[in-house]
Amino acid sequence: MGPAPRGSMNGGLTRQEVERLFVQFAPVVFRRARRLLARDADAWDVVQEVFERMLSHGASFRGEARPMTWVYRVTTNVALNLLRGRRLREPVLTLVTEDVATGVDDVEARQLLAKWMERLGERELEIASLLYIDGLTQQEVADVLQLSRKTIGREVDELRAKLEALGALPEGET
Amino acid sequence: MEEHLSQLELDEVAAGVAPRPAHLEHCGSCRDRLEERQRADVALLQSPEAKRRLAALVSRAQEPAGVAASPARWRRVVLLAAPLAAGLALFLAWPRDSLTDGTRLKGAPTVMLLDGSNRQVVRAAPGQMLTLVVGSGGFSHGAVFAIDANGKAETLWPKDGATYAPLPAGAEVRLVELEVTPGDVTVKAAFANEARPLTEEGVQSRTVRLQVP
Repeated sequence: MGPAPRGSMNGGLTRQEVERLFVQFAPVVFRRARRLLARDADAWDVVQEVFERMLSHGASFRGEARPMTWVYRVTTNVALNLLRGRRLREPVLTLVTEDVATGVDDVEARQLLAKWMERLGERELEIASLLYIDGLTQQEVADVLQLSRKTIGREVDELRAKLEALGALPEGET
Repeated sequence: MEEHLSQLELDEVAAGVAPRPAHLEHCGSCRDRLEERQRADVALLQSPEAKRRLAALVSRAQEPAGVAASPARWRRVVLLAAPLAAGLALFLAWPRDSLTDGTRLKGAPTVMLLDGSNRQVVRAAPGQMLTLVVGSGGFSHGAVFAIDANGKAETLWPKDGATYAPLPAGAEVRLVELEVTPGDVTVKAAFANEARPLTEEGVQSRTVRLQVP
């Protein structure tokens, strides 16, 4: 078994499929990444990365029962990793935005993310961003992260308690 | 009162991967949200950057398997590197400024895998993200390989070119981000003082073996 570049489109997707997937999912990925990262260029990098993964796993992506949950999961993963890397290089990254049209909600989201990244583990951060920034229901978070409803319920309860103790729950959740 | 559509449901309808729910027929608020989203999506897809990214992806889709990824943009880019068929899937991320002060440090060269909390690891779970870190130890050039359980090696860094690449100076230079997939793998960093061919051994090398249950 020889090495194969993951970037090659060995999922067997045609040009038409690539274009169709891009039209369907690129805006979703960009919107979610832009909200977390606050920079267009970084959000486009997330789009690129998510699509590289999608295309290199073409067959399995086609088989997803609910492909949008895959897109949410991978986008969250890639964006948070990019954010972690940025945070190491740019300690005040979450205060940096590249436009003045940012809504109040987005500002709050980034301030919360900055707090969360200091205090939460990887899973907690994923759940918090899906639940409080993306506004998913607990069932949807469970679907995205491929966890049972019972598991996510328990983890959300623990997360809420932790965020409450840290004073890092979003407004309206306290 | 029926609940409004969630963000996920709206995205699914906008993307055409879920049927249009009956709720939209009698909820002007959700209809407005959907229409606003669809307008924004169309505008985004018509932007020059969207067209550029799509063209790059289509171009990649037409590459035969085995062709290396296209060159990276520096800094913020999270790129695909060459993964092993069984082992690590690698995503190159070249830091804009690595953990260096511009001084080439003396001392032994090193290689490490760090988790999200910057702890050194030799065991990881599939899906976990790790960062590959090397210390130049005073060597000017280097290369990093991944070796799977069958002894097959793949060049992980540098991504392009056929020779060892100049190493950023420093005791802890972050080179690539790794997404762990099932299968043990050995990551080998080789060091030299010239741009020798990637097929050659380095003057010194260091390895780290990652166990992936």
